[in-house]
Amino acid sequence: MSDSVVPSVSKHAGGRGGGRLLRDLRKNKFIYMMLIPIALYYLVFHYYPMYGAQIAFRDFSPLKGIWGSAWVGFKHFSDFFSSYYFYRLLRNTVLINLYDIIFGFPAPIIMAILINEIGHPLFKRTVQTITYLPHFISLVVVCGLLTDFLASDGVINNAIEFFGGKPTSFLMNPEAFRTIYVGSEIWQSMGWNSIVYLAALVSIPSELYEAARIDGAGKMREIWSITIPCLIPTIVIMLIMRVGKIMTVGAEKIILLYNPSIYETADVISSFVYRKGVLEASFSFTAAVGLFNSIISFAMVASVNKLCNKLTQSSLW
Amino acid sequence: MRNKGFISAVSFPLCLLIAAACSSGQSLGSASEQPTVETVQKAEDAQSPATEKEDAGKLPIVTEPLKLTYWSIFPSKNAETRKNLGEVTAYVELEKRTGIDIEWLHPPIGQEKEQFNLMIASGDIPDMIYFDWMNAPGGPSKYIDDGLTLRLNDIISQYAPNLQAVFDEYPQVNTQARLDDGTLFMFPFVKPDPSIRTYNGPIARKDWLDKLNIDLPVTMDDWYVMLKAFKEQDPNGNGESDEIPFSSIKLDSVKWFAGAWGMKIRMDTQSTNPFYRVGDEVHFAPLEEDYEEYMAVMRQWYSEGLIDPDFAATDGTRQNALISDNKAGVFWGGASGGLGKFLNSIQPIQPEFNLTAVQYPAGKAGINYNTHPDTVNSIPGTGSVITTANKHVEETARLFDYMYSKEGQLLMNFGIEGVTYNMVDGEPVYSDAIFNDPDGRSPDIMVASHTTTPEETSVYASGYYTQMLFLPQQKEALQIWGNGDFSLNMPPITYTSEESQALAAIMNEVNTYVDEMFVRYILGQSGVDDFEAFRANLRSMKIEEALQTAQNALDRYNAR
Repeated sequence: MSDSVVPSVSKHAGGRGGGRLLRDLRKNKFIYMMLIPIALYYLVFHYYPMYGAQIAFRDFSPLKGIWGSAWVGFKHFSDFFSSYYFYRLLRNTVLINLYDIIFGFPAPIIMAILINEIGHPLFKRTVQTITYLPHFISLVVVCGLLTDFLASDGVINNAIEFFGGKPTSFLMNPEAFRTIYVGSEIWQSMGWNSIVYLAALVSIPSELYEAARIDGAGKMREIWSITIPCLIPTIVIMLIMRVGKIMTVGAEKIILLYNPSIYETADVISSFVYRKGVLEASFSFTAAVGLFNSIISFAMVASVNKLCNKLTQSSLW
Repeated sequence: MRNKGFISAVSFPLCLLIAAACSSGQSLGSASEQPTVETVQKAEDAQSPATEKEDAGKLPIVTEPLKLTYWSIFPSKNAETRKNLGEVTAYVELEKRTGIDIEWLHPPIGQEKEQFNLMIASGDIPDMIYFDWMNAPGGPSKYIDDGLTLRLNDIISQYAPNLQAVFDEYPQVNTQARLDDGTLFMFPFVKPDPSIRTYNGPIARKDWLDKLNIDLPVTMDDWYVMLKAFKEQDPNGNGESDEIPFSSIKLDSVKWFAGAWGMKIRMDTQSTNPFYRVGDEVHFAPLEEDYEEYMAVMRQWYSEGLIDPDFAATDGTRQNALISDNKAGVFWGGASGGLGKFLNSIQPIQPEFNLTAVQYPAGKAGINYNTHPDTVNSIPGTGSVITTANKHVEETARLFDYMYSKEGQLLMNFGIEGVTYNMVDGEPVYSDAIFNDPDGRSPDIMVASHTTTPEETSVYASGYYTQMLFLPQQKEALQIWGNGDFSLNMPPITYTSEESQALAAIMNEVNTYVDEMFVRYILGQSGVDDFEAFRANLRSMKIEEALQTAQNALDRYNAR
């Protein structure tokens, strides 16, 4: 939110330099005052807590407090990296995210374009509402449904049996887990995530389409040559934000769905941290993993931003 | 712009963690204001011990209003009828008699362990904490070392004559309630009567056994015959082979069968102790020779459809459904939570539905090991502590001590005389308020709405349990399960803070690995058949170091 305030103000000032800044401050003092709460928010909730990140380098005990706990250097980092499961956790985390980006990221874009092409307003609104709904179902309920449907006597296996197949327990098959995870993720969030693209579609000037139609372009041509290029800036920003979460898989969903038979593909960094950090109260270890994740995420965001800037001339910064 | 990108990328994942961390930073300052063990003891020494003893039983404990905060697990049984423990009749009366007003703080049911860790991390420490201390992360000694809870030895000897009397009466209680150095750290839940400790074991469909003319199984061969018959002879009579002969919640129930090979494996629902003992020697099942044979049998059973095909993904809800849908043949459960619950809820609808306890299976050695840890423990692990934040140590100690007095034990176990129980021939017997609820609720539920459930601070009365087991199948069950060998079970050994930390780091990986290989082997997945590689991996995870730590702890326990 604050981002939009700053550039507009500097545009008014029309340049750089100390004197100008001072003049600008005086001239637009009320606009700058509006910035204060946001700056405070970042200071209090984002800068100040960073001093606590040091517990990653200490043997933190809540009762001794941050300053009372002993320094242990990189012990927790090396514990994590030398863990028997480190490679697998990293692989699973990145792969689930990668699949989600490959299959889950384009889904709301396609969805938005399809909805946009629907002519009948009532039908359009009905479709939109129905596709939003899964977003509002609690994760616990979604996972309960999944567990039920995917059991060897569940709906899906009943259908397989009806067509002469052999029922299998999907949640005990490591090969099926990523599909289940990403598929249910798409089902749940596709409609909701399409909102931002729908909003972007509305802002495409209709003259462009009219001109294309006069030139004899068909529907597919319009989508390919007008709609998608106009969506690119939105897509790029969404992609950069999505890539920033590449080291994060929601622990809740994993914990509700996994079991030891599918740890091979389902155990991710966050579920490992839950078992080790929260249940065993190893806060320092958890902080070390969090810090590691943040560094990787930051590197990913920076590089994707650069890449997008090169390829499409639009980027986050 | 550039900066902001950095901030949001780095700080969002961290801010949760750190929110917890920074609020706890304050606890450093406040901890120094709290009375340390020494100052409390000095205060005690100033008073004459003689008058203390005389005053000990005096009620009310306080004449001026006193409010204490009590963070406590909320047993799910109490939760069926009450919103918090302060509404349970016995605690209402306790507060009235002692004059102490308790403010109850309950974690959500099922999240006790997380919430306990978060409560401590928050730095907002209550006056008293009821928790499963023996299984608390880091072990009980950590919390004394860290300055969360008080060492209670002097406090108990001064203000808790009734608990002291319980210690004197039962030597095993006296041993098990302590750390290796003799430190008392909690007011424990005490279970002195061995006959009520065997409350958990295999349960089979009696009507199916009768229908197929099968005797109660004793050996593993008998078990195989029984499960095979359940699978093939359609005991539920619906013409389909949809029976699930053996139903397990996650891996736990399958792990019980290790007992037939004289081994015991760590379970999620049991104490976190992953080891067992043979004599005075500590063992770890996956390293044993017999583990391979046990695994092979389980794999065979699974491939023949005798074990629930979904067992690894099955939770309690699904198992309940399997049992009430006439699909599950055998499962593991307790006398009240298993036998009682299903007989009470299903028999009225399906009169032919019947269950029976089955003794723990005997393996090739011919011994049926009952590997439930509580069978050898007078101190199952739960209890209440006084924290360093408590400014009324004496009153708190007297409050807890009252729960161990004759009067207090009656109150905690049976409620109020004339209301929830009557004395018949000198024995407390539950009244109609429990057995004939006007709203038709089961005695099980009523007893939990009036008295404390077994696990809570006090001494567990034998009559509590035996009176609740009013079905003949339940009464039988205690004997059937009790007819076993308990020698594999570890006593409640305790570790030092350092040992505990090192052990947790090792066992976290080991447990994940063992569980995963366990289920993958049973499912017959590829690449898991090499037991040599399996053991080599365990050794590389330093399992031998962990075994030695446990051995040392057992040796220390035996030397107590």
